[in-house]
Amino acid sequence: MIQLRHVSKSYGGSVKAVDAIDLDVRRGEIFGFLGPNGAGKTTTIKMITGILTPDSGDILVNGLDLRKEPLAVKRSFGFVPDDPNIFPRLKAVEYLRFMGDIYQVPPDRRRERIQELTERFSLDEALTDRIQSYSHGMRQKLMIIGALLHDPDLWILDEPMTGLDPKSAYVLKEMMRAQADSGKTVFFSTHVLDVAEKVCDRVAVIDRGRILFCGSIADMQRQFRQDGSLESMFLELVNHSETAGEMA
Amino acid sequence: MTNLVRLAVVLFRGSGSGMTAGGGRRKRRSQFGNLILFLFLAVYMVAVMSASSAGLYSLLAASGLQNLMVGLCVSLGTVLVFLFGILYVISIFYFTGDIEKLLPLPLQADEIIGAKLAVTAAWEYLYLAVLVLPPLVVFGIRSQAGVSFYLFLAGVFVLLPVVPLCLASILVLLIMRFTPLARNKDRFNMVAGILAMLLAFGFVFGTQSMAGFDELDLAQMISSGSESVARLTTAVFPGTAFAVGALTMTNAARQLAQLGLLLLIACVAVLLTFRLARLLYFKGVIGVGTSAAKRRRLTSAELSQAGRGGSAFWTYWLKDARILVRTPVFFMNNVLMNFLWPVFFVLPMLTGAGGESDSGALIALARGFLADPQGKGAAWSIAVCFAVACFISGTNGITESALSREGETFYIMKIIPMSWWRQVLAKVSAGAAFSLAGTLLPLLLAAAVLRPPAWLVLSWLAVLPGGILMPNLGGIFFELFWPKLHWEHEQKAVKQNLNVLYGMALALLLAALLAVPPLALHFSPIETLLLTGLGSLLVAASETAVLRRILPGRFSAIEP
Repeated sequence: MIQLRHVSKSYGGSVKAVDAIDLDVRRGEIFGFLGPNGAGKTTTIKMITGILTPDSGDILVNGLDLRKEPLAVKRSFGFVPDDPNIFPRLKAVEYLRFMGDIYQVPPDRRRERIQELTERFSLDEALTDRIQSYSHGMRQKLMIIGALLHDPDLWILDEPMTGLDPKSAYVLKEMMRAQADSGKTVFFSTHVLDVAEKVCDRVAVIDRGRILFCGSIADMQRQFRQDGSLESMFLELVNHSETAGEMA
Repeated sequence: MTNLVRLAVVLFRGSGSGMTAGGGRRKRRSQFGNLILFLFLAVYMVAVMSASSAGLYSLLAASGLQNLMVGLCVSLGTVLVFLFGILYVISIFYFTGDIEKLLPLPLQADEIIGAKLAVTAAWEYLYLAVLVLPPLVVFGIRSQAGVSFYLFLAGVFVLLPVVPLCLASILVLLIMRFTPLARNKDRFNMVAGILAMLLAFGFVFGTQSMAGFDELDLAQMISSGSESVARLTTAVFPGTAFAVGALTMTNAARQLAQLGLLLLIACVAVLLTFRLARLLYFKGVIGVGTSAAKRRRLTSAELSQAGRGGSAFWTYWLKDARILVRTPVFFMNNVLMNFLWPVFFVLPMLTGAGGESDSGALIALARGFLADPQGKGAAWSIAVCFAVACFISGTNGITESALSREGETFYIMKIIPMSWWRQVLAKVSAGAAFSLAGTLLPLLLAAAVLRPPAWLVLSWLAVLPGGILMPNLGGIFFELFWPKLHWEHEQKAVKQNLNVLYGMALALLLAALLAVPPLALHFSPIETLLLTGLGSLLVAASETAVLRRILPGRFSAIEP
């Protein structure tokens, strides 16, 4: 579903935020993108969604090249950013209408989706209010609803659990599973390793712009020859990467 | 005091950054280009102001009224500081993102206000340096003034914006004190902005008309020498007359005394502002950014309305328009100014006239001019109408800040499945719609008062599409090169954004290129219509072609 080939990106100087990474995210899986702060997760996601242009390499989404067919690619995914502070002066219902019109969601389907998603995320009693009056978590939920309104084949979520209350986090995890089970794809970044461990089919660990590991949790356990938690293996990977980086 | 200085330094540091268009070398190149353009514009403005004031000096000196030029400059400077100050003060005192960070700190209200006043003053000095300082330097050179004149000029320049800025602050502090009483704070803040501007206009023109002199006074003043003529123009703010005195009197001791009095008034104004700030600021600012929520379910009618599909272009346009109107800072700087410029021009004419009979005479004169059988008046009015459209479109700063207003959420423009061209077109259309509304207001007012023939009204309308599209399309170019996306408060996107200044300069330049020849070369109405109406549409078409060509590259280069 997502293919990255030798993708690199640097911000001005010589330090590469993303350094020649290769990644394959398969259709019908939940793929967790893990890494410490500043590892390159958000930069990678921004390149996949077209917010940033890679310095080199190719990105294919659903077999389509983002540079050649940007609109078709953008129609195929729903993106939830790590910062949900957008359009605070709009009412929530106006934001959803905006998203519905931009993604050309048919009227009947739109009404159905708004009702279903707002009820699931307990936002149905706040849709007439301005986004400005929402808490961080409520804004996050609204972003998720907006991104899923057109029922995209691919969900790209940047730290989606941040600020969500336990019920909404549970609902989102359930929805991610149902999405993957229906043959669609979820690609998300997270700091919460417990979540990754529980819901992901496969994960990639990135640090200092390089992919340190890509595979299932079972693969990781085999690689580390231990039955440890994802947290302990993650820490070992990152510590090893940091030591190697310092020595270099 | 130490806290005030420390805070001012922090706020100054925060107000300088914000240009971005890609990273690294590309960014540096882009910033270098921006710097060159800014310097060019500053030199151009200084040159224009110097040249025009040199002409004015010669004209006034012929009648021995050269000191009137100092009075005019000082008055113009203080009025500009006061009117722009209202907008700055409301935005910087009440709507900047730093307020929620400052309120929990152990700071007094007057320390916060003092630091914010310093930041506001910095921008006012920039305006004064470009608009008021050059004519005063020209005055010094032409009148062969000695070194002492320039020393007094330095003192006057430093003190000049203090009183009007403090008055603007006091007015805003008084109005915004009532914010907590309003249920819908955003709406109150917008109404407060309108009220503050109207009071400001009322104050400026009210004091001018109160200080109005009849013809006899005028004759006496002119005959009694140029020093007293300066009084004509300096009755607006307390202390303005002392500023003029410090620059025009011939005795150094008297000049020094005048400067001392100006300093005294400035100190009183600052102390009064600080005192009022202690009394009123926290009461008004706490909770100013909160938004009321009703927390109610959508009715079935609202749900079906939300479900009704619309065009992506229209919904995008609507989103931009809603944000413009609902964000107090954008509303005051872009939307309100769009409608206030005509008031700015019309009010002085009305208050400057000696009464109803004078206004009536003025209107009769204008009607006669429009009915000129040679068509000179009609041609002139078409060119002026075109220039007004360009001016309002170029000065409202809507398209000139179209990308900057998105701030860090600019990424939305990059991820939605709507072509960049259609998005930019929607933004230009939003700017054009507000410009049209702002232009139609004075135009229809003029049509109602002057009662021109129908063909002339149609001609006025015919020059609007080009007169509005040309500056709006021009304005978006600067945004594509230097969008100001990293800001903590909305003020930076619209007021502390050089693109607005560049867009204004381009609009005025294009307006002058097309509107001046018909006036200077006495074109017929048809010729004027063709040059302004059709000529501007051709320029707009060329801008569109260039825009389409550069858009993909520029958009890719903008990395939020």
